[in-house]
Amino acid sequence: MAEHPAISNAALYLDGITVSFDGFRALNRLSLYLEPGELRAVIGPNGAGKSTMMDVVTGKTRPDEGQVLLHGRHDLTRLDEAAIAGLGVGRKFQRPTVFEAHSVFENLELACRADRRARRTLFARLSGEQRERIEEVLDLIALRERAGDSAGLLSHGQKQWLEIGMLLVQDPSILLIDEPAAGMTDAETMRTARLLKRIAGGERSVIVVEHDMEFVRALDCRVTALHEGAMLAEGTLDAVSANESVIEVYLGR
Amino acid sequence: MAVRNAIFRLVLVLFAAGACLAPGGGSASEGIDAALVLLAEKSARKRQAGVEALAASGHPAAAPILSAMVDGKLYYRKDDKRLFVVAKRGREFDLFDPVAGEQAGTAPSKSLKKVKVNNRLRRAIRKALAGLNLTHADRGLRLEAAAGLLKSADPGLRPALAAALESEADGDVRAAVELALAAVDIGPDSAPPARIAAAKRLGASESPEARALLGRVVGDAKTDAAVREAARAALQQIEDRLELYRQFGAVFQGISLGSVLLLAAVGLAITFGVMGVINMAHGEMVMVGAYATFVVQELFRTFAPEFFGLSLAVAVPAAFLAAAALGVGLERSVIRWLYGRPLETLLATWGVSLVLRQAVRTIFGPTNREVGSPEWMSGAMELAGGVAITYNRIWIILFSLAVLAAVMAVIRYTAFGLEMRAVTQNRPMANAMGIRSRKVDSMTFALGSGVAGMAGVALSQIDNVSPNLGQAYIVDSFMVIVFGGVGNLWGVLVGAMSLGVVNKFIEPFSGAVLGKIVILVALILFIQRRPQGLFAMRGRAAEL
Amino acid sequence: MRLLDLKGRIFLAALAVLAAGAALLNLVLPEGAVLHVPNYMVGLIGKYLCFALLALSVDLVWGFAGILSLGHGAFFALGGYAMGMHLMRQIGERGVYGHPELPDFMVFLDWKELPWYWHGFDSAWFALPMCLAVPGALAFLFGWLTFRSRVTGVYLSIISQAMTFALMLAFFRNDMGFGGNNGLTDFKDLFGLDLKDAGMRAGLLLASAAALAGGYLLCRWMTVGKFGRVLVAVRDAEQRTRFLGYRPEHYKILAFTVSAMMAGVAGALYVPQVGIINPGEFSPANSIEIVIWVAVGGRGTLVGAALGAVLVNYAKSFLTGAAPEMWLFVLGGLFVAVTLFIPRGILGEIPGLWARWRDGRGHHG
Repeated sequence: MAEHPAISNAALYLDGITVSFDGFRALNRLSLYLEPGELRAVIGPNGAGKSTMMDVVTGKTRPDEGQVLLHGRHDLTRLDEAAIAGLGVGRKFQRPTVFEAHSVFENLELACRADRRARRTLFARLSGEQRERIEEVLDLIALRERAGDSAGLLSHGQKQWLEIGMLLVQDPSILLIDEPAAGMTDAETMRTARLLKRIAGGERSVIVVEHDMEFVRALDCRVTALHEGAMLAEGTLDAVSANESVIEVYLGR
Repeated sequence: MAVRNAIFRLVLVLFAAGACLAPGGGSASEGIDAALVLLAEKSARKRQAGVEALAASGHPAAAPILSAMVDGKLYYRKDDKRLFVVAKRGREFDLFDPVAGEQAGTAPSKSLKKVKVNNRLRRAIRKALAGLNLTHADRGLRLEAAAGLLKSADPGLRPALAAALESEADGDVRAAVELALAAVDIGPDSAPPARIAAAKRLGASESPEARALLGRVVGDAKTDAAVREAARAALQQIEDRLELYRQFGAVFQGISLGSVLLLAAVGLAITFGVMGVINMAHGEMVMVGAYATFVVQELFRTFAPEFFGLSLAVAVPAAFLAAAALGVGLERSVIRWLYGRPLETLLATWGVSLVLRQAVRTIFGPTNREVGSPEWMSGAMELAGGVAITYNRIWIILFSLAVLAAVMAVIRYTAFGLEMRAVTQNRPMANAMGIRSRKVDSMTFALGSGVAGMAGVALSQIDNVSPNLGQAYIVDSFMVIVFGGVGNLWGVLVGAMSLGVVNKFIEPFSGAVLGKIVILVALILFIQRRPQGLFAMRGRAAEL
Repeated sequence: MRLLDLKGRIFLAALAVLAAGAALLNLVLPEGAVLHVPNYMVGLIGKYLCFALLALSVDLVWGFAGILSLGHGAFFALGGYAMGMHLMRQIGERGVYGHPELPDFMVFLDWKELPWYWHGFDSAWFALPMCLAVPGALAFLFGWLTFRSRVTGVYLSIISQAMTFALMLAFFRNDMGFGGNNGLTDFKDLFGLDLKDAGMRAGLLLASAAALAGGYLLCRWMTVGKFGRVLVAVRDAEQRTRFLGYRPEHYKILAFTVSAMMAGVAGALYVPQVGIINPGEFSPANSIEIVIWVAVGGRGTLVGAALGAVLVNYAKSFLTGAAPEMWLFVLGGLFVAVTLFIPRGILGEIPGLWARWRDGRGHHG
C-alpha cells in the first residue's frame, strides 16, 4: 500500500471499510479522512451506514475489509472498545446513556481521565486536579446545581448534556457524536451547536452524525453525505446540498 | 472340486453305514430297519452307532424318531424289541410305528422299556438332528440347524452340509450353510487352501462362533503361516465391521437422545426466543405432560381397556392442552408482570417449578408412576453385532421431527405465526399495527408449554414418570438452546442432535457421568468462541 | 460514601451481640438455667451466619455487578470440601478401619495410597488457604472464560448452573476420591480440639461471626468507592462503560473471584459445624435458593442479603420440622411473591415505606 503523506497526519483515516450483516452491506468500501481539529458532519438517510461507521471506529463492530488508522499509527480494527477509548476516542450515543443509578458528579467521575484498570480503580481516589476538571465541566454543561442528584432524574436534554460533559472530562482527541440534537428544543439545539464548535479545534476532532439540517448548517463545517454504505458527496453544506445525487437520494426532490 | 469331494465323502459314509450296519445289504428301508434294531440295544455304543446310521440314512422318518428319542418318547417292546413312539395315557401307552407313523394299538406301560439316552448320546442325536434338519421342509428349522452346526463345527457333518448346500435354494439358508461349512473347513483337518478359503468366508460373518474359530486359528502357532494370516485378516475384517455397527448404534442412540432433547428444547426456544423469557418451570411442563399421559392411560385401563393401543394418540393432545393451559396460567399470573426483567423471571418461574413439583408429589405421590407402551411401540429391531434398535426410540425420533415440523409450520404459515414473528422483531411496531402483543405473548407461551407437554408424552415412554422428571432434562435443554443459538429452530435441531450424538460417543470412553461433564465443559469453552450460539443473528445497530 | 453507615453499624453491633451473647450464655451458664443457650442452638446460629456470609458473596456479584450466579453453591461446597479434607486427615488412625493415612472410604474402596491432590491437607497451613484458593481459582477460570466472551444475563446464569451441575455429577463419583455419594464425614477434631466440645462450638460460632463481619467490611469497601461505582455502571450499561475505556470483564472477574472466595470461607466454616459435606451441596437447587435469600433481604444492600439468609433459613428450619410438605410450597411461593411484589427486597423497600409513612403523617397531621 502506497503511503500517502497526508495519511500519517490524519486524525482519523478510514480506508475501504466494508461491513456486511448476513449478506446485507452496511458499509461498502467507505473511506473517510479527518484532519486534526476538524469538525465534520455526516449526513445520510436511515440505513446509510452512519451508526455502523461509528461502531467500526469505536470497536463495537469489526469490519470485513479495510482499516481505520488513528493519528496514522494505530489500526483501530485490531483493538477492542476499551483500548480504543483509552487511545482517546470518545462516543456519544443517539439515545442518551448515562448511568442512572449514579449521581451527575459520579457519572463525570467515572468518565474522568484516570487509570481504568480494575485493581487500580479499587484503590483510586479523586485527585484535586480531577475534581477541578469536573467542576469546570459541571459549569459548562450547566448542571452544577444537580451535581448530587441521580442521573436518572434528569430531563432528556440534561442527560444529553451530561453525556457531552462525560466526553469532555474524558478529554478525547476524537469525538463521535450521534444525533446530539434529537429531542432537544430549538434553543438547546443552537446551544449544542455552539458547544460542539468550541470543543473542536486544536488537537481535538469531532464527527457529528445528524439528521437536522438546521443544526448542520449551524455547525458550519465540512459535510459528508453517505448513501448505502458508501460516500455520496463531500464538501461544504451548500456544495453537498447542490449535488445532484444527494438531492435525489436524500433531500428527496 | 469341493463339491465333488463332498459327494464322494457322502457316498463313502453311506456305503460304510450300509456295509457295517445292514449286514444283509439291500434297500434303504432295510438300512433304517437295521439302524432301528441297534437303538434297542443295551450297549450305548451300539445305540450311538444306530443313531449315526439313522442320521446317515437321510430317511424322512429319521428326524422324528431321533426327536422322540431325545424327548424320551421312544420305547421298545420287551418281548420283541420292536420300537414304538408312544403317547402316554396313564398306565396305558398309545403306540405308533416309528417309520410309518401310524397307530399300532396300545400296550400297558409295563410291557415297554424306554430307549435310554445318556449325555453323550444326546449330543450325538442333537448333531444328527441338525444334519437332518438341514434338508427339512421348514425354512426356519433349516436355518436353526445350520446355525447349530456352525457352533459345533463337526467335520463328521461336512457331507451332510455339502449335500444340503447342493439342494438348497433359499439364499439365507445357503449363506448359513456355507458358513457352517467354512467352520468345518477351517479346522486343522483341512488342507491349507481350503482353510484359507474358509477363513475368508468366516470373515463375512459377525457371529461370535466365527470370531472364536478364527481366533483359535490365529492363536495356534502350529498352523500354516498363510492360513494364520488369512484368519487374522478375516478377524480384523470382522472387528472393523463390528466397530462400524457399534458406531452406527452410538449414532442411533445419540439421535434418540437428541430427539428427546429436541422435544424438551423446542418449547424452551419458543418462549426464550420470542419472549426473552427463561422459563425454569419448563421442565415441569414436560412433567405435567407425562402425568397427563399417565391419567389418560388410567382412564383407558378403567373404561376401555380394549382400545389401550390408542391411549398415546389421545394422550398427545391431552398433554398439549394440559401443559398449554398451565402455561397460559403461568404467563397471565406471573410472567406478564416481569417482562424486560429476565433474571427476575428466571427466579419467579423457579419458584413455580418448586410449587408444581411439590403439588404433583402431593397429588400423585413421590414414587414413579407406570406408563405403558402400546404394542406397536414395543419390541426392537436386532441388528448384527448385538446392536438393537427399539421401536419406541424410532417412534420418538419421528415424533420429535414431526413436532418440530409442526411448530415451524405454525410459525411460518399461520396468522398467529406471522403475529408472533412481528412481535419478536419489533414489539412497538407490531403494537402500532394493531397486533395485540399481550395476546400473542399468551399464545406463544401456550404453544411453548404445550410442546413441552407433548415432550412429556414421549419421555413417559422411556423414562420414569416422577415429580422430578422435568429436572433431569432442563439443564440439558438449556444447553441445547445456548449451543444452537436463541430463537432459531434449526439451531435447536442441530444443537440437540449434535449434543445427543456427541454425548453417546463420549460415553463409552468416559462413562455417562464424565461424558456429561466433558460436554458441559466443552460447551462453556464453545460459548467462549461463539457467545451467541451456532446460529447467531447479527444486528446492525448499537445496542445498549 | 463512608465505609460504615448507620445500617452497617447497627448490623455489626447486632452481630457482635448475637454471637458473643450466644457463646457466653452457652459456656458460662449451667445447663438448665433459664437463659442458657443449648449446644444445638449455638450450632444453628453458626450455620445461619455461614449462610449469611454466602448470601453476602452472592449480593456482591448480583446486587452490584448484575451477575446472577446460579452456581455459588459450588464455591461454598468447594470451600467446604477443602476443609472437609483437612478434617478427614485429622482423623488419622481413629477411623473405622484404623488406617494411618487413608480415610475410611478409600480403605473401603481398596485404594492403596492417597491420591496426589489429597497431599498437604493434613496441614492446616495448607488446607485453610486452599479453602479460599480453590473456589477462587475456579471462579477466576469461569469468569475468564465467560466474561471475556461477553456472556451476560440469563446466559451466564444458565452456564453457572451448568458448572455446579457438572461438579455435582463429578463429586458423586466414587473414583473422584471425595467420598462419592456420602461425601466426607465422621470428623473428630480441628486444631487438635474435639469438634463436639462446647468451647470449640462457641469458637466456631465466633469465627463465623468474625468472617461475616470481615466479609461485610470487604464488600462495603469494594462497593462504596470508585470500583463499586464502575461495577454498578457495568450492571446498568455494560457497553457504555466499554466506550468510556473500562474493561467490564476485569471488574467482573475480580468481583466474582473475591465473591467465590467469600463463599469458600462460608463453606469452610459451615462444614465443621454441621459435621458433613456431600455432593448434594453442589445441586443447582441449592445455588438458586441462595439467590432468593438475597432477593428477600434486598439485593444490593449487603445487610439485607445477610438478613434474608437468616430469615429464610429460620423459616426453613421451622417449617421442615412443623409441616415438611409445606416447605417447598412456601419456598416456591416466596420466589414468586418477592419478585412480583417486593422486587427490591425487605431492606430495599424500607426507605420507600418510611418516606410514604412520613408523608402520610404529614398530610394528616
